[in-house]
Amino acid sequence: MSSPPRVDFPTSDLEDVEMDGPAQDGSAEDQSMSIAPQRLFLGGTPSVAGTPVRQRHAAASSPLAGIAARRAVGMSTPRRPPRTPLFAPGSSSPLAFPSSSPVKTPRKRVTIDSDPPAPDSSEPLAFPSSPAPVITPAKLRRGDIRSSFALPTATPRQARRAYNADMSDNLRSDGTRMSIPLSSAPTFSAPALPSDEPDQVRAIWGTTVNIAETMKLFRDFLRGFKPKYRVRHDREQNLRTRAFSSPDEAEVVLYETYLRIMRQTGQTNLNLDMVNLLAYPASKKLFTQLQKYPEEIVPAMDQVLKDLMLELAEEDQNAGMEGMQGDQGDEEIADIMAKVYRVRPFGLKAINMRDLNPTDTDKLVCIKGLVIRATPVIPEMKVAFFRCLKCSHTVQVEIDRGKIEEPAKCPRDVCEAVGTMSLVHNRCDFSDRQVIRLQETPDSVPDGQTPHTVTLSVYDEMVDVAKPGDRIIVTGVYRSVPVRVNPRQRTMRSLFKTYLDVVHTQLGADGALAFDRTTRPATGDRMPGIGDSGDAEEPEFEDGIAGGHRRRTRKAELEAKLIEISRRHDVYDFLARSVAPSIWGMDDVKKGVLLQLFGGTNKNIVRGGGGGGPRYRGDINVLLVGDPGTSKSQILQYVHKIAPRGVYASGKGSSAVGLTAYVTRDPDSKQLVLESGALVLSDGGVCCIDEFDKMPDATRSVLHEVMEQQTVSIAKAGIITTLNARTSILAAANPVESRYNVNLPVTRNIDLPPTLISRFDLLYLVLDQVDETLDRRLAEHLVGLYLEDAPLTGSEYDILPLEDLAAYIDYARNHLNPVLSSEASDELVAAYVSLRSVGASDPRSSEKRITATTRQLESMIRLSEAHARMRFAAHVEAQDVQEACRLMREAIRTSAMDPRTGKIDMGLLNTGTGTGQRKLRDDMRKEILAVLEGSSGKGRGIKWGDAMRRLGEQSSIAVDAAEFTEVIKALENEGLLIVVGERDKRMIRKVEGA
Amino acid sequence: MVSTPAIEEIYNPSGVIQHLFDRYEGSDNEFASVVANHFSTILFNTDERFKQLPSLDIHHPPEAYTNGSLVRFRAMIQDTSSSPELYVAKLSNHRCEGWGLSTSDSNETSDSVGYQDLQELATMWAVSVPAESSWHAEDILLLASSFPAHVPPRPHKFPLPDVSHIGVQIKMYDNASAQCLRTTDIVTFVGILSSEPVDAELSSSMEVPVLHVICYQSIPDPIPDIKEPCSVRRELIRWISEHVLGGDDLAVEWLLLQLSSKVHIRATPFLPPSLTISHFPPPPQPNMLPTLSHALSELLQKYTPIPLSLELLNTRSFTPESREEDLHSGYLQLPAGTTVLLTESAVFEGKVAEKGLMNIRAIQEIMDSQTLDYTFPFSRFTFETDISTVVLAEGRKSAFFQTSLNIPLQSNSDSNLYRPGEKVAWPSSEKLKIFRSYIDACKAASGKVKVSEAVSKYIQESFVRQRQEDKTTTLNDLMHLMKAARLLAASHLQDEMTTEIWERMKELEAARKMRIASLTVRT
Repeated sequence: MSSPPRVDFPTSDLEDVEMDGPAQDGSAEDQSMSIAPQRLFLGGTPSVAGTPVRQRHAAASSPLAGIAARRAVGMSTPRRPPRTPLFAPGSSSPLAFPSSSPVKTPRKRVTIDSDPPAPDSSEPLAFPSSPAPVITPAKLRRGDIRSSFALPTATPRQARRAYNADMSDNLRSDGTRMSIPLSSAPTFSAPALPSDEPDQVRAIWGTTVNIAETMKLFRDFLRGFKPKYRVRHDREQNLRTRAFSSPDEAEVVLYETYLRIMRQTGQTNLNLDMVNLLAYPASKKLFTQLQKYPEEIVPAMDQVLKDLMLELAEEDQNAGMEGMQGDQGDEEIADIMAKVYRVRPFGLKAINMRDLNPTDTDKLVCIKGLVIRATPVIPEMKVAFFRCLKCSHTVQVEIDRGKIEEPAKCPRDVCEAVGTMSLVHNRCDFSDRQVIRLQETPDSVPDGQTPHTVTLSVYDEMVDVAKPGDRIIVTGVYRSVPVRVNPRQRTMRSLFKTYLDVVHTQLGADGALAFDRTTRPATGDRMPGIGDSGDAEEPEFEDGIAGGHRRRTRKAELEAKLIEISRRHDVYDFLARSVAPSIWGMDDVKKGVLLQLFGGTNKNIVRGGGGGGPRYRGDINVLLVGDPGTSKSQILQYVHKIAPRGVYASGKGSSAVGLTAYVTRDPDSKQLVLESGALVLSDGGVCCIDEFDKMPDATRSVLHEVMEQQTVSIAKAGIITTLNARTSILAAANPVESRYNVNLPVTRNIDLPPTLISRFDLLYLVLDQVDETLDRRLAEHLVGLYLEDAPLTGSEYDILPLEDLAAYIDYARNHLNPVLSSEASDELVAAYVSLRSVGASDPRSSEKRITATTRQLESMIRLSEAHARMRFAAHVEAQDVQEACRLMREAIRTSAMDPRTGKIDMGLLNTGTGTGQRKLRDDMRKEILAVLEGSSGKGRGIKWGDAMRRLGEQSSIAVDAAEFTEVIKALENEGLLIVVGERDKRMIRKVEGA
Repeated sequence: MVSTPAIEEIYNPSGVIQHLFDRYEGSDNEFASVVANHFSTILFNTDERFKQLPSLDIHHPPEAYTNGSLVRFRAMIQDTSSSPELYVAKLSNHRCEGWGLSTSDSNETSDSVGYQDLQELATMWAVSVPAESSWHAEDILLLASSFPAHVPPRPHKFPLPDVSHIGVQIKMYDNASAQCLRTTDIVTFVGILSSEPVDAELSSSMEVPVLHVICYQSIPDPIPDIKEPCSVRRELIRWISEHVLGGDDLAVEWLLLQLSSKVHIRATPFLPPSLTISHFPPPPQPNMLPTLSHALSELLQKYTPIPLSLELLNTRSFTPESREEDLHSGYLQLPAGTTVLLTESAVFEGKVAEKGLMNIRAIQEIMDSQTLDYTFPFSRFTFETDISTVVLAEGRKSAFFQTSLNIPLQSNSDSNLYRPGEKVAWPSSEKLKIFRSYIDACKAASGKVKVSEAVSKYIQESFVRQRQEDKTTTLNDLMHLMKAARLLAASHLQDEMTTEIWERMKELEAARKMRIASLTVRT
């Protein structure tokens, strides 16, 4: 443990040390303290706290000293201060223990009085015997803050007694306790913070941290923090800040607002962004203090929170605020009194769980990971209630380091019966507790290592916030507790168990592994509590996660970089060629896949029934059909690597089970549980399915549902359920005869039911073509790879590295939801109509080609949205729609398809055409059109041979017959002209109006 | 010179550590590395001293040593997921803690620990190197041990089921260097042996051997120097062909390429190939391993046969899987450089269950991308592997796997491919040694083959020509040919691809294709 400033206890030193003694000595207290002193006195101090002091304490055996010592040690300090102002208005110091001690003693007596069978049996108990365990009676404590220590939450409990004196539901023993506080009841309003009289200054042991001052600081912070401070702080850190809608917004006293909300909604947890502490000039110190001494500071904060809640309520009552007048206000205040308020700090920089080390012990740390296992809620006994079977004397024993020590014999001098103490269950106090195992996420594990796990203890409201499978970011106190090794062992070694007592949990994720947020309910999965963050009422996940400013800066940098990329004029090509850079060519496929990664926007029809109506998928599905050996699998692999929640499945190896979900029996609980398969797992991501054609029909049929309804229904082992599978599908398949048969129409080459095909937004035919120039370039590319041995860096153009591309996509997906502009909608309508008409014009062709349906229109919308998203644009514009249409046409090779036969003309695949050749064709095309235009018989067209001859006359080089045919075919495809007749009698006719 | 300090280090390591500690004045958290340095300079410097160290292996199980003895342990790291432990680095009486030093007199320990004296130690699980051939593992003299067969405490953590091995929990005090160790790494640990419960937090957990590591070493084997590689190559091919594969030289050529392959760059096009030897006759009796398996285990450092059967596929785990937060091993959790022989002769009709499918997929994944997914709850971790796979199939191709290479076996009709190991005419032990080193050298060379500008032009041209002649040639063919040519160059221990190699490769490929074609026609 690196020694923190364990500096001065110059003045209070002697006294404190002295007081430490009794605490250590107190019979039951002894153990609980054994860790504490060492932690608090760092470096060599433990010895100071050792024996000599003990002896000294023996003299100073006043119970008061004991309390004072405990307080000074920091365990119970905060507890008292709160109580004092509440019940003893006069003594303003939070540490004015003299006032509190009388409370203690009589109460004890009263408690015991309450036990009718032996009214005065309690006397001996009072303090001669064992003061320590009994001094602190049953009270609510925070589990996350060392459960064996007394905590301020005691106050509210008693306070409630005070106010609910007339309520009958109190336990008898509780009722008796009221009697003391009652006297001070009228003065509950929180007094001004104590002025620190020198002799009452108390510090956290071994530090200069003054509890009273800390409380004052926090109080000032809550009453003074305004969003503008955060903005200024962020600006200093060069972070993007949020613009305020009005100057007033920056001036709101944020936490007072939160406190009011808490009062109105009955919440008791305040989530405190620790960065706000840093941002508020006066409370900067608190940040470090809170991080270093959470055990002392957090309870102090809790107390301040409660005090302020009351103070604010009173102020509001006096101000006659709505809902706070008169009796209503009193009721409200009484309610507050009865509650336990907790501050839940977060916003530290998350560290890797591997970096946790002994120096972090008892400090506040923040880690993230994946919940792999969570126990059911465990009722944890906080205070045990024992009664002697013989004399009915009762004793309360508090939990101490997870254990309750059962009294071996009746503590009463008169009785002293051995083994007669029995537990009375319904008089014990319990709290909720849950133990969670948190495992490192794949992104944070060093290469080649298996992930570590840590244990988390969560308490009270935090229970069940995180479920197995969730990625969470937790803030908590790191503990290392010695455990005794097996006593049978010869070697006795002190071993330590480490875990985290969680104070704050946040669900979230980051990086390439994020899921699509639109697939999660907006309000679910949230930590209970108010006031998530200082810079937004509904903060985005990442903002909450970030916290640590270094991290934020990095994020801001990344963001700037991404925006810069998005401004490149060739961003589309740039990103497209960054997809699977080791694969040569296939530009359009890459573009399609790129847009799939961006995805369209998910839409819910808000009108309609409750819950927002149906959800329209924004996921783009892509199918690659093509010859073997055309790197389809490589594309899939790449997408799998980059995609959010990508899952890779091979159609061949998957049973229906693997792709969907199945029911198994959980080995732990022996209960039937549903285990998700690839599709459900990739909910909100991309599911890559290779060998789609080889997938069993039964499995494939599942996809029908997935791809349109985006759910998977399962009926197995008596469980019928529908799971969400909002996933994009990228599938690869081979043509029917393994190689594409050019003599067959497209639809006959793909052995998939048309219903399924139509669910793919983009269907790419990836054809392998023999072409000398192309082959040479390909070979060059490949051999080049071998030459360089570095396939990703050496390519001729600049590309975006995989991680950056992932970040870019992730950013776009999370921050941009482009909406259609009116010109875009016009464009879409026009494109759709023309698409429809192509099929309709010739009835013979309709069966042989894939005709457009409204599905295609939806596809176009999605693709346009994705394209706009890729540009970081807020609106879908005409250019997006045009590209979307182009892609769809290119995808099914419409341009290369013979409209009459539905066959693909290999010669027309534009990848196969060299640029020189293409230019030649362009020229020829112009000329042909000119010739047609100028020909005498306008309506009748021109003979094939004539056209050839005329062109030859104009050109300096001979017209190639094959080339001529190609150009005519292309023009025919474009619908500019029609060829009628056969062979030599062919006539070229211009289409009217085209 | 027999150095007395070295003896001291070996026979009284704790004394040496305490001595070091007494003299040590630096910060506590660096003490472990000081100890490691001290011991490694003394122990690893000379071979004799290192050999003096008693070895922990299957013939010398942990029971053979008393607690507290210094041993060396050549092991594969199986699991690094166990959480680090905290220990007290220093006791109040200025005694050094750690390395299991403190003994029974430490009743005071747990009461008076100072948090500033706590240090962290990394724990992991290591097993004796799986699939390591006995000739390679036992370079130390084999002392007949009188101990009963060692029963490994946690057999599920060893990749190969029902194989005797040693499993030891490793405690690394030198935390920084522990971070460098990855799963399936092969490391020689030197440390103090003891026996402790697996999970310190559960008093009920079983006791396992624990090695408190003082220092470790993980250096790759030196690359052997082979004189006249071409003649060794010829001899090796002839021997395998004659005695193992029934006179099929072509198959042996391809087999040799496969055996000398190794991952050198992790990009899909460069990954090593996988080989199917098809038309491999079924064994005369079930459950017999082919002679090839015996030969490979004699020739290769790390080799394991996996006789596939439906039962095996459906019941055994091939991939490591974390159950109850304990990483169970699987068949494929093998160290880099292992060759796996998958035989399909025991596969009969039946149903492949979910698990079987996953296992098949895992093997295919290794063939395609040299990665293995470890299953953890709610997540999968992909680990890199370097496993060379050879499949023996009876039919035209493997029933389960798509390998990048397929060579139908054409053995002489009178040859016995299932001759048991003892009936094989082994070459002389010197020859065997040369063969072994030769294969190691090929592996090392396969990563270094360069392709010059001129040769690459030549290759491009030849590909384009081929495409023109035979339209079915695809890009994959080129990639595959490039890969194989590289290996061929390496098997001649050349570090540069030449046009001759390329042409030779094309011949081999043509011969292979022809054989496949002729068989397809016949059937």
